[in-house]
Amino acid sequence: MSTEAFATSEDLPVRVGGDRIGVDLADHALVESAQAGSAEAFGELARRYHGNVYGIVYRMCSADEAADLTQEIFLRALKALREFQFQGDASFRTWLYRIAVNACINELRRRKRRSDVEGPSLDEDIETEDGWVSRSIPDETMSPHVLAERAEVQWAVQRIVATLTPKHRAALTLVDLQQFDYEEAADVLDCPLGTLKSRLARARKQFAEKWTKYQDGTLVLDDSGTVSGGEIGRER
Amino acid sequence: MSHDRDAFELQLSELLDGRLAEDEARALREHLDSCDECRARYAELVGALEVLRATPRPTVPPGLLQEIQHAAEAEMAQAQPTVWQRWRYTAAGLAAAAAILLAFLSPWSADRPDAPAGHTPADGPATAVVAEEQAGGLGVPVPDSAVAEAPAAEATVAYAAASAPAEGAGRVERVRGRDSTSPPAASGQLTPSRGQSAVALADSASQPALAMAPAPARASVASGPVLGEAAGRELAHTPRMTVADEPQEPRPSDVEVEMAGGVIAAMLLDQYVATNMVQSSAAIVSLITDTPALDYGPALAREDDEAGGFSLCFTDAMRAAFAESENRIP
Repeated sequence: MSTEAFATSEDLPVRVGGDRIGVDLADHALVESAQAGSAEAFGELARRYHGNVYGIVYRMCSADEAADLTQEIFLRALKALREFQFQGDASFRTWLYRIAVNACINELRRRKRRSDVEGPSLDEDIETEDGWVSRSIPDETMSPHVLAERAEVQWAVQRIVATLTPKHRAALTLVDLQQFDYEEAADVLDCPLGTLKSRLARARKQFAEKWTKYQDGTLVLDDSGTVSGGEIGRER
Repeated sequence: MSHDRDAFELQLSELLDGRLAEDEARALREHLDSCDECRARYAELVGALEVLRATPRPTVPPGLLQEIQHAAEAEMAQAQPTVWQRWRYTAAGLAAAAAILLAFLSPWSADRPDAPAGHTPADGPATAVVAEEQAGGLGVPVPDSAVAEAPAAEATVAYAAASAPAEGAGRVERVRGRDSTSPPAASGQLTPSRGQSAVALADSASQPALAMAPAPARASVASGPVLGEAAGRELAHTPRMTVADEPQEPRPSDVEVEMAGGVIAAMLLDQYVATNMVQSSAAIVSLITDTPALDYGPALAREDDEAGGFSLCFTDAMRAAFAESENRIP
């Protein structure tokens, strides 16, 4: 499993006396260059943050759609970049992640709306009082890299996280999976710090209960998605 | 133990992250030591969190970054202005520069014999006009206060690339547009009337000419925020370039000035204004006065008279609205 190093280089100094686009340019300078039409500058911003954006999408939505949605998020950000302004502590990174999280939440809601209209398909989650429940069937189209990563623990974590409501899923993804601090996570989710803490506490509690059941063997996770008792998988 | 369940879960969560105050953390630990149920819940949480945090980040598919970058390049290429559009933006700057240059080349300073008599700022309100060709000439009047402290012997240079063929000297109080039914400004000559100083740039699709108003004693170019300020922002506060006392070198004639500079400036402006009328007015004024364009309000075209002339007026409220808007000079 790769543990790609994700650059958080917005605080890096601007290269003195040069205008080369590279790791030694701060986000601020890159954003201004990109706003002026530099594709190279935007490409560098993408290089810095596409890993974390991909990680957010992967956790919140699904591995299958993560690449396409990540690309879509960057194009959305590009279109909105003209309006972006550094104000106070506002950072490009937080702004970009907010676009990513909102795109994920919208995608989950879109799935739900489609499910409401057409009825749930076999591979879509459904929402219950206990969260989102998987009905997915084995995905034979998973790409090799997804299959390669499908270690049991990670797969189980992914399946359990997918049972959480979108907002709880977002809080858990940012803080516990992507290692954001509380403050930045609250900024990304555009909510008060207290709200972030509450969502995180509830998300952790739900995850912990299900993880314990999974460990005990009282909760079986499988891709066939048999739903029993409002839980993901099968409870024995 | 009786707890508000959510509050207790929140405390446990914060304890995990070391975010509880020291006294709160100590009290909670003491409770956990004495309560098997709560200790079990905490242990469950700790175990789950360890799993979550140990979960490796997903590997980014190879090629995704390149796909993003290529898509962004394609998107930005579509959004980039064309070479022609960029030329137009440049044209505005060239036009303004040409107009300013002509001001210093012009022979109509103190020694000009045909300067209108009695033409002093003290005679009436000064007006700065940016006239543009589109629906009509667009003027930007300057309130009286803008030149209140201007030396009486000075007159702000007026530029005009009027929409008329050169026919001779004339007085233009208002720059008119293409639909004007009034006789066009003769010869493109723009003469501030009743002592009105003016900065006027008009362009023409026909035979544009740029002329500069005669000034009785001195010609000066206001290079400060001269537009739309009702009070407090005065020309006297802005740097001026006075040419009255310069050594008198041989200078081109009026006709030469008009033909060489005016035609070029007006044609360039015509191209620029045609595609970006509202922004261009601020841009041109900004270039001439060396003042950030955002200091001006939004351009508001209004029909100025029955002949179809138009003016651009800027008020404080409009300026504030413009500053908050998304308008940018290209």
